[in-house]
Amino acid sequence: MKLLIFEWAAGTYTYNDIAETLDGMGISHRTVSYQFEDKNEDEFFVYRFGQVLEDDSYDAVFSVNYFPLVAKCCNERSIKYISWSYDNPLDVPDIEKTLGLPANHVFLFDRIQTEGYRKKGFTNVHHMPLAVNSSRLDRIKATKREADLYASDISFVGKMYDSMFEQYRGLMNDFCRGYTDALVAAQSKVYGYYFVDEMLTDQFMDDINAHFRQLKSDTEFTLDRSALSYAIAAQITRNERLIILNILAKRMKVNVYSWSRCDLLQNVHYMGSADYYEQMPKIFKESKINLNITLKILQSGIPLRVMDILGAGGFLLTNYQPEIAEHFIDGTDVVMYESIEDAVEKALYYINNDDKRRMIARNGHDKAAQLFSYDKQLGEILRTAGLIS
Amino acid sequence: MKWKHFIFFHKMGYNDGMNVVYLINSKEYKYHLRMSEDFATVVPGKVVDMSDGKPFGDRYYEIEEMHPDAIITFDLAGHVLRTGNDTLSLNNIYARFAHILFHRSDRYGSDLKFRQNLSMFTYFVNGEDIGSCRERLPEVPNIREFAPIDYKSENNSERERIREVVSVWWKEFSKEAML
Repeated sequence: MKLLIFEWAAGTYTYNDIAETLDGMGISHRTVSYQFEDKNEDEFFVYRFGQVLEDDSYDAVFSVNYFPLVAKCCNERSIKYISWSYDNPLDVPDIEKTLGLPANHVFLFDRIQTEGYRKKGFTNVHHMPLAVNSSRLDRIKATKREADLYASDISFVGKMYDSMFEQYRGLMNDFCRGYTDALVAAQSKVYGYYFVDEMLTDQFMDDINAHFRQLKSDTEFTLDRSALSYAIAAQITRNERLIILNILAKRMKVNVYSWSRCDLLQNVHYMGSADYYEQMPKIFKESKINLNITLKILQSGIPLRVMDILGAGGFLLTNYQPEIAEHFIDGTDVVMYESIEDAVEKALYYINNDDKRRMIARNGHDKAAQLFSYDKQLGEILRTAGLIS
Repeated sequence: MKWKHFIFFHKMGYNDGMNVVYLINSKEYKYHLRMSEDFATVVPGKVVDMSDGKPFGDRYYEIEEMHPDAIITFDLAGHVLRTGNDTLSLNNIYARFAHILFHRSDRYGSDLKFRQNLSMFTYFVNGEDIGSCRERLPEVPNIREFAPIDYKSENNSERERIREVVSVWWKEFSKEAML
């Protein structure tokens, strides 16, 4: 079997692990990459990628995340296209125009998102949790100097999210603003179910856009539901991250690894960004508690960061996510919180219980390695796509 | 613009207002300055010298903010810019690339082992076996020949010939890269 892997030029976190696993499975592969300006239209890419497909014979094209033009090129040549996403939302405008192409086998890690597409008739969309390469991660050891550098009570790797929420909110009338504020307040307290999309009715979106046009009659801007929903999710996530980290930083050493410094974080140690393959596993190993605070719009799935922490053997304190609860036992393999107060209390408890913490980290690591190995997940993907039996 | 230059551009076919950036390394390759002059006479563009001491992080953003349509590099001068995952930073810029290599492939060591994205075209100037390169360099997607030129020559007639070669090459590249 020979696969052509398409990689987004900016790089994808899971690419190396996937390539290593395919090597181990004896599947030959070649990789090409490209940087899109417009994911839906690019004459040059269509021509060049088409040439790559015709220069050799491939059983399928594989990509991390979904690319509509790759799907079109494959479909025109009746070549299977397999995509496995770790992004959510998928950030592909007009995705439904190509998602149902017969060549497509699309794998998403969030079950609710998958079910949403399947209910719309996209039966070629499948649920597949992300994976962990624990053997690679087990080989990574911090030096004494690195262990000292990364040692902390709490570590958090991620961004604070700059949301468009305040800008949208500022343009709403009093009713819409109050309704949206209530929505943010209510959703902030609910873990495991994202109801914002349901509450943003067509009528409500029409009211918002009608008010925009009252403010500026010639505006061409229309706020759509998905954009507002994402802005709300980002705002809630930002608030949750800032509050938890600021509270914990008053009581213990908190290291934050992020591309940019956030001035609203106080007393935390800003450590700059962390390289995914080399630094991040060492950070997770050397931190007493690793925090995962999921982007609120991710409804049920296990985010990549959770796999990263567990695979590295780190202790995980995470928000409740339905699929984490399905596979991991709270308090035995991982620790989950269901409110900001709960997160703080559990951090304070486990920081002083070294043995319990170590045992939970070990259990979480072993279970993630057993349930979510790349061999297992990729094997299932290739079987579902009809490439292996 | 001098009248004779206008005639020259008209004859050679210049870049129709396209935003072109040249990446050179004049410290390691002395001829880069002269070659960039010759290329830019035919295909006007801004020349960025990667060896001028500016931090690479700042340099990347400087190039990105120029929003180039095409980036022409000499001897892989821009390959020194790398991401945190040790991939080519230039891969992340939406542009068409022409990497002009004045030496044989073994001169560039591991630089030709890095994955180049599909918008990059790599041209060998001095008689490299293109077929063998395509087999040996699987991460370099578009390998092409460039007509032989004496890039070290300071002779005026050779430089004039180089400009004619560049003019023909640019027309072909523009077409293939859909510029």
